[in-house]
Amino acid sequence: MLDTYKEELFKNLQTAIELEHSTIPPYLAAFFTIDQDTNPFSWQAVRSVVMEEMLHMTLACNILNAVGGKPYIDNPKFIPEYPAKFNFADRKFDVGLIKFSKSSIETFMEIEKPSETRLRVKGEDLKGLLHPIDLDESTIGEFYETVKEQFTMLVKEYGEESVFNGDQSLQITSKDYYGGGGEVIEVHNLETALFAIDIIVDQGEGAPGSIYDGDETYFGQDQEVAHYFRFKEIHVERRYQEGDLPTEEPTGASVPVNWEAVKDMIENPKANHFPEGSPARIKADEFNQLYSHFLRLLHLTFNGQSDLIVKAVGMMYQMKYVAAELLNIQIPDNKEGKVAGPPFEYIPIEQRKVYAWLLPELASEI
Amino acid sequence: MSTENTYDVVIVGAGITGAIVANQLAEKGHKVLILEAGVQKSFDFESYRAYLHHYYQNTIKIPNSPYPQNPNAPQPLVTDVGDIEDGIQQFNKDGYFRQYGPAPFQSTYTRAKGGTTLHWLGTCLRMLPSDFKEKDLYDSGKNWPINYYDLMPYYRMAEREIGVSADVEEQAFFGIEFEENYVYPMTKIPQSHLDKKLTEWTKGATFDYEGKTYPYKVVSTPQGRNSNPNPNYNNGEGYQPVGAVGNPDLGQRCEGNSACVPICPVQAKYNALKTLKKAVDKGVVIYSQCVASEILYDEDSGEITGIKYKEYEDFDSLTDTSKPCNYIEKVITAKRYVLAAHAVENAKLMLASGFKNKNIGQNLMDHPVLLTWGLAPEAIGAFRGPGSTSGIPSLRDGTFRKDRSAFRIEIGNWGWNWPAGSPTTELQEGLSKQLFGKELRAFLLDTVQKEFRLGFLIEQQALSNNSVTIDDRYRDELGNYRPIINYNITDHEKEGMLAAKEFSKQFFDALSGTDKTQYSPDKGGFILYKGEELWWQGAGHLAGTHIMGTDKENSVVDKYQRCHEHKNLFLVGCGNMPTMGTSNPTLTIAALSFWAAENISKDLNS
Repeated sequence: MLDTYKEELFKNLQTAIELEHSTIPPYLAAFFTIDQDTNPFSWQAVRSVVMEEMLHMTLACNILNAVGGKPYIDNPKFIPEYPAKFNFADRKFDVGLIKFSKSSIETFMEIEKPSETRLRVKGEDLKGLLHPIDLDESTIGEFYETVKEQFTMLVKEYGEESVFNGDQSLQITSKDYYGGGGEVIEVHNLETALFAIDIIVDQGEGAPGSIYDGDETYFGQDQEVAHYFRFKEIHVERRYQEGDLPTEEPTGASVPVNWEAVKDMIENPKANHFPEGSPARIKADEFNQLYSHFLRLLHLTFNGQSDLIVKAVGMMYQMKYVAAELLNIQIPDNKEGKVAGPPFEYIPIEQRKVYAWLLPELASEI
Repeated sequence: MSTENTYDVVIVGAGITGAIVANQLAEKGHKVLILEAGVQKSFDFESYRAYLHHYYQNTIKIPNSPYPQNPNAPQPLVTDVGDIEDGIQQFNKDGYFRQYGPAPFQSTYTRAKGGTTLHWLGTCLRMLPSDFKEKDLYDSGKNWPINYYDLMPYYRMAEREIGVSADVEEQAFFGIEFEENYVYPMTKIPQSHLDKKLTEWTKGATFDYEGKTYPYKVVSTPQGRNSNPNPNYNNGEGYQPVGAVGNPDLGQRCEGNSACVPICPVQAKYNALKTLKKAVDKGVVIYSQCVASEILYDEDSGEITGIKYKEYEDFDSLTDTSKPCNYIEKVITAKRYVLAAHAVENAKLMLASGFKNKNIGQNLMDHPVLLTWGLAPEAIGAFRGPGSTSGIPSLRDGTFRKDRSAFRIEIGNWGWNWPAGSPTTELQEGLSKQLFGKELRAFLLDTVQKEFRLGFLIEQQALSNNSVTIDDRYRDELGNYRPIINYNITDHEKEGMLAAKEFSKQFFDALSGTDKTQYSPDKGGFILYKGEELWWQGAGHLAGTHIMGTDKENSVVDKYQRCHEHKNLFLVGCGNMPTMGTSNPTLTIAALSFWAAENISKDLNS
């Protein structure tokens, strides 16, 4: 019976990994179009969210590895085709690779929207408000709530040791995570699994009843509002301040956003939209090559070669530079003068290029 | 003139030493004010980005390029040193320094909040135990009134404050000791591909000189830039790398932007703004745009009674920044005073105030850097990573120091950037050959990617003739003195340079590289010595203008960093160093600042 339940758990955790990953290309695409000097606040806010999504994906992998599962990172379905459909229980919306704009920020707020229960301020009666266990949740937080309940139930039924029987050496440690809030924690029992989930959910939606993300209380880091509220600050061009409630508008300092000073990236760029041999096509292909190699590298990292994470950092920088180049390329014959952008498309392993610099771990598999 | 008196301690200068002293004193509950000559700047990251833009826009990329000239607190520039004409070294007479030579003084500093750590490379070597007693050991140079072991605990504090990345087992040489189980806050910055190849290519070979042999041992350099925290730091407590001021998510690791000098774009490299911000959060007050002009003291007791300063009006609001602003003179008084304004500025201020100690301004030192350069046998990926990640320490100590200077060899990762302005020079060369596109790229790859250079940091002795003085005729726009520099290098140092030049020749032979070193006789710093052409540059390690010692005859401050003749005045910074050794001095003066702060606090509480 445990095996059957575990299959269910594996499936949910794989969903979690894919869900966390699926937010990264849209956030990154928007981030790359922001001018750091014109919109320093937005630049930093979106950047920190992206960094933390990478943390969440890593935490989800640690949880899955802790229970003996196997994260699948490198397969054609791993990257959604953008615009991707996000189907939550109460709403459906598209998430695309769109430049930084009021409407892309609105989409991001949809992704990070806190659940109703989470918005309740401490002390209010929560009885009866919790959703039933259901795979069709309305928010990411509720989805994770489901997973937490699964964990608690399984440990109660079968004991901690048989649930957390994964290989401890597969865990990613905190030493290579930086640049955003929170920390990578190693997962080896119920307590650490639930904590890892709390980090994910609190960073996204805020600690229960709060606009803040828990980094300060959990890790002694700087106080920071959660992703939803960071996006909200950009959207309304005003910061939250101490004492503001999650259910209300921010009342802090004004942070004007210059919505015009943004790279005018084409929506949902795809390599084959650009003419063969054009600079945009060459760079878009290169980006896709890098991204696919990178996913393979992450796959290896999360499946036993955890030291490779350092190399993954280097590859992320490579992608950043190519993305910056793409955003400087005018698309030929585009009447609106749009520029190219990073397409985030999957290239099957047999079609990947073996660059001279490519890590032997990746080159040997092609 | 208005007088303010609400502080326990007034510090002149918001660089690394002033920041450390301020932060430590605030930690112990003292009320501290810092007077800073540089312009008002907030601690937000956008303020720092403005420096970056200034650097991008500046066509001349020198260490002070990002930090605008300010007529109210001018800075020396490396471009103020001219060529040699008819055998005479020329100087820009309108530069901030008034130089009388005969040798050029080629080092500079930055007058802004954060000080010269804004543009330092970040090298954090400890001094050797022998550097503290050179007079006793080699009958050359001076002795310190303290030794390496006295400074050890403070080195540890400095390494924590700066956030030094290094592996301790590689750093214990020439008698350098560490406490048992000590590890640096972060693991070493990875050595460059060049460093590794040089190790491989020179394996087993030695430098043979004057009957002795020395190994070509390439050792990683401790650096004040963020790498992975060492989980074993502080008995397993670990370490949290400190990111950019105003944007702590940035700069938590070195990103290899290869712009450490003159500005790290993400602040992965330490700068004193990080310590200053902590100090301000503890209640330390900074008065910017306030240039100390005179130290007031009681003629009989020597006691300092106040510091006179000139507060100039808002600089940013002026459209013509080349014009000085209006200023008002004020006086600030406190229980204790600290000069942390830089070796040259400290000396200048004391001289301007009529201090009697004859040692003030004397013993000016630097590390003259002999540069050599050439091509590696194959492409080594030049221009990547920090400016230098390794050095060769073999000639930092030895009995030869009786007769010639010791030196440390710094391996440069940025091709011939320093000696020849690469890679722009090669690009222009390629264009002049009418090369474009793929051909130009191939040409550049073939040359630039094999380039590397060595920098030999020659130890300089403290001598009374090398000095900072003042002259009533030479003043800046606010009426403060411009430093007058008299400077030369001795045969002791030239002998060191000869050894360095020979080292370079043998080294290039050993690795089967091509020595491309070629000096122009008209460039500042060129000399012909015993038939050998030598050329050196400044290291930016200005030191020795108010050295520490045992009494007022041989020094300005005692071992507690307190002035012999002014008991409520402490001096900090490179000016206190009686010898330079072969270490870049910042780590050592940071350690001394922790020591000074402890002494000041005890003194206040007694």
